[in-house]
Amino acid sequence: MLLSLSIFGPIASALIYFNFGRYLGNYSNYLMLGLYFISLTSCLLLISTTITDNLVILFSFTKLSTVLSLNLEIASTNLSQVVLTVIILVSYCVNCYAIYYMSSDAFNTKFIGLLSAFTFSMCLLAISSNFVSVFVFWELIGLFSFLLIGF
Amino acid sequence: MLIALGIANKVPTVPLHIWLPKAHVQANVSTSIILAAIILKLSTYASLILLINLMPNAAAYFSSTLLTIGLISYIHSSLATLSQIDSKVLAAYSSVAHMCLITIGIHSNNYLALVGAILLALAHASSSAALFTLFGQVLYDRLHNRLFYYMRNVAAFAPGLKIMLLVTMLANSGLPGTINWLSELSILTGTAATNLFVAIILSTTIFTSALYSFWPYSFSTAGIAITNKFNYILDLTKLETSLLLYLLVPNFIFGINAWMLEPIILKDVVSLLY
Repeated sequence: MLLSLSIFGPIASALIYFNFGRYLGNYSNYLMLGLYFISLTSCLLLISTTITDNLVILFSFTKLSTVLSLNLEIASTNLSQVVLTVIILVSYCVNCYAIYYMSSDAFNTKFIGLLSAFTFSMCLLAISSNFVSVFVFWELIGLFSFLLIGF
Repeated sequence: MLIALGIANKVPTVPLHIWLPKAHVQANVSTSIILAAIILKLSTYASLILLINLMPNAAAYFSSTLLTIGLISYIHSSLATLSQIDSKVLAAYSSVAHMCLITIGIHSNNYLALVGAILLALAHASSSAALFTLFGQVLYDRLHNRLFYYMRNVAAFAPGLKIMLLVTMLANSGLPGTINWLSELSILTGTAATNLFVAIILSTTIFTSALYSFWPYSFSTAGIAITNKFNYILDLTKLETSLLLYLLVPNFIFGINAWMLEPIILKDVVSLLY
């Protein structure tokens, strides 16, 4: 529950920016900051409670045969929670700076949406416990960083 | 072996691949879509039927030769894309690379690799058709030119074109979630089971396919435009958008839900192993 809440912030703000950014304008910045704050608090709560490793199968590409079965697995271990907290904290600061820095740009909502999607894929890379999910989210990180560089 | 040579002419593998880029450059859009998406797949079907099904012993005997030819032509064509200045030649070389991947998957005699080859044939049919639609129809209609030099930052004022270019390039390079990714992964896993050396060389596919997909994308969406006529460029029309979505949406749907394809094509694959 807390884990899903902690990765909910970046993906929700990315979806808000991509879908409603042009209608909401600068109001979506406040929404984004609130969502990130929720994520950050749930991360800190996750760290403060020591829990055992719980494995969640996020999504299952149905197997082509019995040989190749592809599951996107995520697990919350203590180490991954620390990394998750660092990611959320740093990208919270980065987004705060990006709001100020990109405020003169016409497409600033698109930029911050890309930044949130990048943060989301970083979070899922941090908590992935499977080579398939590492590969998938590594590719997503590559994609979003390419788009951010080429913005 | 002679039949394999005839099929290799059609695939096409390396010494015999020169005709394909020239044919694509000279042909119009519909012809090059049919050529890339359908006629090249007939070579896959022919090698499945004639080589694997009809004469399995000969295929087993010549499999190392065919794998070597496939690897050489794969590496050659995927690196040759990077020195192209013509967009349709680049798309043609990328389809050569994908077809050689299919050839390697077929001849490595593994269930997973065979399934991956058939799936890659389907995936490449959609993604290369979308690529040729973009380069041959959409961009050629607006610029009357195929050279990358003249399409620098063409999509700066056409967001729909930019997004469709991005999605097509992602589908072509094998983003997770497309059939391209699934089939490349299963070809890699399957060849690693039979021939590890081939799989190690083949694992550069993930890198090189991203290279030759993102290079034209960054060329056509970034940089300084050579003319300010691009400020008034027409975005994608409804017809072009619907055509591209018709090609690309099944790629993503079947990539995520691959079990839908299982009863259709995977039934007879086991009988093709020699």
